[in-house]
Amino acid sequence: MAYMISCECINCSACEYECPVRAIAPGPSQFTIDAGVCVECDGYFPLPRCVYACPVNACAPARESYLVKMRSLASRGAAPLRLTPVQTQTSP
Amino acid sequence: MSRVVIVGGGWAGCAAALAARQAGAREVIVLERADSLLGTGLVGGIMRNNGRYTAAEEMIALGAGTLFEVCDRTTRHRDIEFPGHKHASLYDVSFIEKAVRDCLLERGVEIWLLSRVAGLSRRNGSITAISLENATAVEADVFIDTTGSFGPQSFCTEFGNGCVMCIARCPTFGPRVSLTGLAGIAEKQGKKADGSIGAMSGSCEFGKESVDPGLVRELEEKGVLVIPMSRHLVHEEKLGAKCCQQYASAEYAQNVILLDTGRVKLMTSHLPLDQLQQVPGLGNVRYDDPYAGTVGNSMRFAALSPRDDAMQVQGEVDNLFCGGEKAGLLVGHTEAIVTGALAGHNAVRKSAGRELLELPDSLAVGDAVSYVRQRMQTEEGMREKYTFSGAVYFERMKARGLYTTDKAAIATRVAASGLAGVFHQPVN
Repeated sequence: MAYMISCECINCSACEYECPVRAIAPGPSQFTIDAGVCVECDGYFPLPRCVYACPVNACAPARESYLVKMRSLASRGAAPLRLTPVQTQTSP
Repeated sequence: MSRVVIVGGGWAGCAAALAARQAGAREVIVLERADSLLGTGLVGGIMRNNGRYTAAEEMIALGAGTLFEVCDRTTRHRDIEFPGHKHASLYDVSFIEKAVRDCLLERGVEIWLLSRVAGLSRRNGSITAISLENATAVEADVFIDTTGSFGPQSFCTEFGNGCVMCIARCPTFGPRVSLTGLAGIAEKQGKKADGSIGAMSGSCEFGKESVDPGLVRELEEKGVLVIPMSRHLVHEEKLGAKCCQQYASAEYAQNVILLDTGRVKLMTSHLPLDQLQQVPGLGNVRYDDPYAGTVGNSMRFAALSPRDDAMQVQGEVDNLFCGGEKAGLLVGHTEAIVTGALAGHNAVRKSAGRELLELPDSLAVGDAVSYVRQRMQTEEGMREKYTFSGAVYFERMKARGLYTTDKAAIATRVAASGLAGVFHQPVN
């Protein structure tokens, strides 16, 4: 199981710098961990390096419930709310 | 005719949409990242103060007056005075969004809310489409960047006092995305008077229910209240960090200046809540915008587009225009409507292969667009903020004889430029 970065991330980049396997990269609104690359620092450090480096406790073992919810928040990545012009309108 | 897509539904984006429709664009779509239009206009309200009166009347004579008329219709107070400012109008922040939205829909503009832009594709030096966070692609002939200049949260963290939970609502709707930035065009950052990056939004708001009823009655009657503060509460040093230098005279540090915009607008720089509550009548007050008003306000001028006087973005793409705060250090609703309308009009001219419109410097609106662009080429110019309503640009307006509240004189001036009603005429 990999680690994840929650929305407490303040974009400081400390984790990206510390990660021994370069699993961390900046995203559109916060840093993210590539679950396919993260090895939980197994064989590198006793404590995952991102957890050690993060000043706001945003790095934690990945929780599927959190990641699923984060992806599905209605306001992020949902279909746009489209308001179409009034039909009775004549020339602009 | 053309299809124009506008990214950012603040005052500039709305003005661009209306101008593009007036100029004959077949289809105009405004993409807004949040759940409502107007952005910082949702917590604004001040129109027609000082030279903004002249600018508004010039735009009306030029044929781009629709949004000024909408503001006038939702105005709570007309012709009021507060320190350094004359003949201001205050629109009601509770009613303005719906009024503007209806106005756009009636005039054939399509509005997409919750539509944050995430990507851009281009071919042969033109932007062909942008994509939203949910991967919907939106194609157009011309694009307009009216994405503003605040956010993301990390900008407020690095240059301000952290996220203060302002009207931008980045944590919910995602941070602002710059179209100019996505196109790979280098952007500029505005500076504070001391040379550090960004500028802090000035005013804060609170609900009337938390203010002493007697004070509310007086405020609703007069539109403005000026309450002197005890000496120990005065923080003049905060004035240098403000976006709105027209509201940064010592009077704004020494007094609590309140305006009635439907809610109570605090013109003094943010104060810690415990200090604000020591002001007579404000004992129970709490900040409603930004929620963390105790520590400050949002930071702006993170990313400004390089542009020409026709509002076309200068860079490797040939079909991108910009307006509003994105287009430079020209701050305010009126200023955004001016630059936005010009961008919207020129977007249609561009797609029709016509010569782009530049407003002449015999008009305040034309002079401001050009003057601010020139000033932004200099280091000291990047530390100033420009507005029709005060500070350096209003001084220039007066010195050049452009400031007047005589509507007939303004109409004559616009007629003499040969551009009366130019925004009304379809481009073909």
